[in-house]
Formats: sequence, structure tokens, C-alpha cells
Amino acid sequence: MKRARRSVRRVGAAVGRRTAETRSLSGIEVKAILSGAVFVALVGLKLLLPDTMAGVRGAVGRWLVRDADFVSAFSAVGRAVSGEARALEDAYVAVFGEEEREAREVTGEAEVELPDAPDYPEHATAERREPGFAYAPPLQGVVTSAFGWRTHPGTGAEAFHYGVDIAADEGADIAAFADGTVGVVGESVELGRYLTVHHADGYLTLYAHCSRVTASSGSEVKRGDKLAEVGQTGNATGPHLHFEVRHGEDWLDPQHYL
Amino acid sequence: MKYGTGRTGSIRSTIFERGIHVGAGFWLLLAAALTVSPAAVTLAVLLAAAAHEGGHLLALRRFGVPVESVRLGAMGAVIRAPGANRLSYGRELWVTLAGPAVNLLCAPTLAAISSRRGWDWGLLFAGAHAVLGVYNLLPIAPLDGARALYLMVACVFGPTAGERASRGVSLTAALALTALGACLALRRGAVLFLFAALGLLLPQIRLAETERSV
Repeated sequence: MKRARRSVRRVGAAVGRRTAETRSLSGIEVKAILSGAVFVALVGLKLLLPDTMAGVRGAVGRWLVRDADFVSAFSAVGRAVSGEARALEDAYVAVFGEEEREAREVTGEAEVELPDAPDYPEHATAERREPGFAYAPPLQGVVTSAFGWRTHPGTGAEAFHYGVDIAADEGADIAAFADGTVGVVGESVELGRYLTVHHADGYLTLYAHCSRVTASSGSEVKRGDKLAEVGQTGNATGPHLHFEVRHGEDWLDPQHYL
Repeated sequence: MKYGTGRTGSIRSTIFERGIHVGAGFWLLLAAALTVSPAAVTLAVLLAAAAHEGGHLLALRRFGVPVESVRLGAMGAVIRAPGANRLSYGRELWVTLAGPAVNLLCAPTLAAISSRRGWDWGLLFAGAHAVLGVYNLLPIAPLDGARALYLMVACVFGPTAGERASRGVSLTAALALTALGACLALRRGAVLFLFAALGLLLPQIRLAETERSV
């Protein structure tokens, strides 16, 4: 992308520039004007119609890089540089999403895990596992959508819901499920503003659709510490918390722990 | 000082007297970046890129090479410094590696400070430095890594061997990256990386064509 270039055609370039200046509307100038116009138009649209542009960004972003979350990707690389080896995994997830999970969403019905509820996709389990540490619900409220298959309220498609939705007022405090370290703090088209917390024994919790995330990535948190505030960012139809509990590669039913 | 040409001007005068030329492609690049990613990411990458170019410019100035212009185009910034071809291989290697070095020094420094103070944006900026530093060290022309490879091989085995090594490695690495991009596009549906890899493969094909015609 960048380099110190040896110029062997120095004279030629200088002459070229001079002739371009003297001609009234050379090809180069037209290109410059068009590109400048595209730039001004896009920036203008972004300022005037932020929601529409966010939608375009979402659509273009999804096509180019799925729902890549560049802010958390770059931040995760930053954390990796600061010596946190686990952060590189977060960067991969932020850019490419969660591999097995997306594959399952497509072929969900074909993949059946026998020991669990028969229609659950692989790695989603109804089994109740008792973590070896103290925990508490992140938010008090009504569970409006449970763990399991559901018709997506936004798209109408049948998809597996890997967490629970807890309805609450916008701005209500979201507390840490248990002691741990904040992993990704990010923003994506689907999850809105979200964060993850790594707990002991390979447990991980995810909190999505927040209006504001107050914890910063890499920081240590105690059970009950405020992490974020309830909102409806991302793909949400009203203020609620989307809460996931994961253990290693498995998604557990958060209902067991509320 | 074999190369001393009496450069005493400050960086300001060496760069800005000659001017920064902003090409049409740069605006398109910026517009594309702002469309796909949030403004904070674009800003972080731009600042990391500016620090990177600053590294090259400082090294050029250290060796007394006048900088004619800095051109911002679709492929990033290109520093025009005709005097650089009079530098020794060793010194040009310094100039080439100064850019990535700045990024790879900034990244851990920023990350360490930010993680201690809890600055999320600092980690974002540190990440941009790390990504840019590593990206520019890829041995694919026209990236710094390929230039450094050329200079190192040329220093020992002569410029023809350097050129051959640089082209061979560039083509191989670009093909490998394209294969990886295609694999990601097929498996994850993310085509951005395929585009980026093709963008790096294209110059290799062009180089090969000019070689054949000569």
C-alpha cells in the first residue's frame, strides 16, 4: 500500500502534470471531480440520513464481510498486542462471526444431537450444568423469548435462538453474571452494542442490544458489577437484553441460571 | 556523507513546499471505507497510515533525501523521492522498514497504555497500527515487505537476483492469499478478503506482462 518509490520517470511525470493543468478538463480532472462528488454525496447522506446509511452499511458490510465488526476486531488485535493471547480469537469472531453457529443456522434442521432435546442444533444443549462459581441474573425482567427454535420477530424466518430475551426499560442497569474479564466490547448490525465476559472454567456470557456499554474490554469485573444499560440497538424490536451463556463450545439455556 | 546534498530544511518545508497530492482514487477509497466501516475505524487506520508514512519520511530525511511529493491514491500513499535510488541497499532498507517499524512500535505502546487506563479507543488505534504494520510487511510488491526482501537479496546476490526473488515470492504469496480469500468467500460468504487479495495479485500479473514484453 505504501512505499518509498524510486522515480525513474521523474521528468516525464512533471511534464505530464503540467499538461494536465493546462488542459481545461482532462481525463484526470474529470475523474477527480467525479470521485470527489461521490465522496461528498456519501458523507452528506451519512450526515442527513444516518439510519438509511447505517442500513446501507449493514447491507454492504454483510455482503462484503458478513456482519464483520471492525471496531471490535481492531480493538481485539490491540488487546492481543498488549499480551492477551485470547483476544486474537475475539478478533477472528468479530470479523468472521462464529463459524459453527452460522453453519448450523443454515443446516440447523439436518443436524440433530441425540442426547439433548432432539431438535436442538449441535452445541446447543438443554442440559443443566452447574458452574463452580457464584452467579446472579444480569437483569430482573420478563423473559419475552426463550432459548430454542423460534420465528424471528424481524425476518419471520425460523431460526434457533441461542439466548434469552429479557425485557426491561431502556437504560436499566445490566449486571455481570459472575466474576470475570470483559472480552469483546463491540457493535454489530445484528447484536447492536454488545459485550462478552469470560468467566472461570470456560464459561462465557454475552449481553446484546445495549444502549450503552460502560465496562471496557480487558477489565476485571465482579458479579453484579454494572456492565451496560438496556437498549434496542441492532436488530431489536424493543428495549431488551439478549443474554447468552456459553460453556466451551456449547450454548446453555440461560433460563437455568436466572 | 556520500549522499549529502545539503538538505537542511525541516520536514515541513521538505514535504509541504512540494505538496501533498490527493488523487481521485483516495477519495473513493475513503468513501468506500466510510461506507463499510464505522468512522472510528477509518480514522484509526488513517492515523496509523500517517504514522507509517511519517516513519518513511523521517528515515528519508535522516539520510538527506529530498522528498518531492506525497501522493495519496487508491492504493494508499506513495512518496516520491527521486534521490532515494542513490541510497545504499542498507540505507534504503532502513527507509523501507522505518514505516512498519513505527506501526509495530506504536501498537504495543498504545495497547499497554490503553489497557492500563481502560481506553477502548486506544486499543482500537493500537489494533490498527498492528494490522497495518503486519500487512505492509507482507512480501508482496508494492508492499514494504517485498521491497525489503529485494534489498536484502540484492545486497548479497546482486540486483538481478533481488528482482527475481522479489517477483517470485510476491507472486507466490499473492496467489496463496487469493486462495485463502476464495476459501473464506466460499465458506463464510465474505468477499472483501478475496477483493483485497485480488488487488494484490493484479500488480504481479502486470509486472510479469511488462517483463515478457521487454
